Amino acid sequence: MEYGIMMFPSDFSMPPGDFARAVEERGFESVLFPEHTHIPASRKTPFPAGGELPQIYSHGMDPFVALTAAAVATTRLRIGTGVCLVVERDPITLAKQVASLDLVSGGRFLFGIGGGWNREEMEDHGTDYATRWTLLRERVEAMQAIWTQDEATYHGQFVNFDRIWSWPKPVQKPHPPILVGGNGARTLQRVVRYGDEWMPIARPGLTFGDRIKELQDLSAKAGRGPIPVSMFYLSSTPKSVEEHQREGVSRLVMAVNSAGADEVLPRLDRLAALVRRFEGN
Amino acid sequence: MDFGVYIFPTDFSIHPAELAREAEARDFAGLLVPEHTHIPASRESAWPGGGDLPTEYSHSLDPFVALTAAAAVTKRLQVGTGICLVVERDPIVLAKEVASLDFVSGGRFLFGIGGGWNREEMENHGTDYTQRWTLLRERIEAMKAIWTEDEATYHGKFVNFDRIWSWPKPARKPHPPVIVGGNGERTLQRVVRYGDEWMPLGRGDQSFGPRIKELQELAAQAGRSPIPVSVFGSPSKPGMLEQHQTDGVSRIYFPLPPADREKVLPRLDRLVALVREFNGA
Repeated sequence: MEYGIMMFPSDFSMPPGDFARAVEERGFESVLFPEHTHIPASRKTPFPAGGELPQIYSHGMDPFVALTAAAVATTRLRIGTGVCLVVERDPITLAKQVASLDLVSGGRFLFGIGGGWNREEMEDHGTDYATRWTLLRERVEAMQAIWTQDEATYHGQFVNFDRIWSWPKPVQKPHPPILVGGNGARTLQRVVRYGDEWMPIARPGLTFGDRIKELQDLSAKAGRGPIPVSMFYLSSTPKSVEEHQREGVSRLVMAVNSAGADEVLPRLDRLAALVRRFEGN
Repeated sequence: MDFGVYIFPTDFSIHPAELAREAEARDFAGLLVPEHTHIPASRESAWPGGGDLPTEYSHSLDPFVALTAAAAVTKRLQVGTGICLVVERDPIVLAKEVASLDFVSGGRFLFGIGGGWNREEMENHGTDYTQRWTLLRERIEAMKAIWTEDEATYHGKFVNFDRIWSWPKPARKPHPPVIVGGNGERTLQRVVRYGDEWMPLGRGDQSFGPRIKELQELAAQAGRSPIPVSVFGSPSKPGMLEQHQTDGVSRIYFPLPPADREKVLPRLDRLVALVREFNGA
């Protein structure tokens, strides 16, 4: 099992470079940063976790800036988005950002993506909530073309370009792993269609054994090998870590509040101790 | 007058972090990187530099990734775009990228912007070449609203959003300097309307004296104080540096080849010698 840490770097948190160094020093495998490009004040879309939207959602840094700072401050740590809102970004620009970060980090980038939930947020980027999954798929396919072809062309319902040049290509071949986030009914089909890994969110009482089995069946039918599963892990008790490992989860990503070093470092120490206890050393 | 350098960071040139460290060690004041999100293979738009388009145009790293790497390993060096193609980027995403980079660098970001020249490149981002200056102005105005207001609203012909939240705000108040690039007829009006500085492209032995005088008159008429001028690219001749200083230029950026350290570092050293000679040391 690999262990990662998620935090939303902000104007009131530890700087992302210092944070990443602290995570690497404690032996974790990866750091993931989420994304909201902004938050519409209207707040018409309810927060999926319920209640008021925490302040951090409108204070999070751009993930590519924060992850580059994290990459430069570390040498082994994987750095990734968890998740990047592809439906709010131009795919040609995003393809170059992903490839550049993968180059600058020496091939350490994990590309976590998701469909998003905030309808007004995506509308401010010209995206229709109802067609967001088609848009997401087309943008991912378009980026895969840009990363892997010397001269890329893509034509879809929403994304269209002819014969474009874009280097650098990513260091990881054919491209950084695409971790498709989400727990929805159609998520597994999406993972098999255009993803490299699945990244669901753990919720109290939820087990994933059946769905992981379903995923691997779908994968086998599509002629693919077993698909790795990373999990956003919110309730840190050693028992459920064990349970998730039995289910076939290969990476657990544990959340840390966006806060200063005085709060974050002790929390990282506790999580590192938890990992040691679970790994039996 | 002080001095900076610019480079196309690519997959075949010195790592931007290493270059930044070397430039700061030699007391350069700033490091700029240009942007092309991609290059359309059709090459219908002629390159203003004449002849074939150099390879680095299609190989340049995303500027925000390259500049964050540069900022992360330095303390005093200013890092900036020279220039950023605002008409190819979503203004809500770009506002957050600028603010995040300014925040993590402790207020060292310089926001060089320009209209671009490659019609097919901007068309792949949905931008109409004939409307690009209006689009550019609206996006700049929209980003200023996001950077300076707790709840920003903008309504223009192309850019529209209502009451949005976005932090971090830039470290530099009210925002990083908006440095308008270009030598065109209407550039000075644009600088005075929405820019903080002017950055023409140095062309051979051309003096900018008369246009700088015109710029300062326009600034005074608009009730503004004198506007700083940086020249992007200058022949490495002490006589030309003296000319620029007499004309009222406050900073000169020298070009570096998009090459590895074996080529770039000796070039940096020669520029240091040139600056020393100019300063009479």
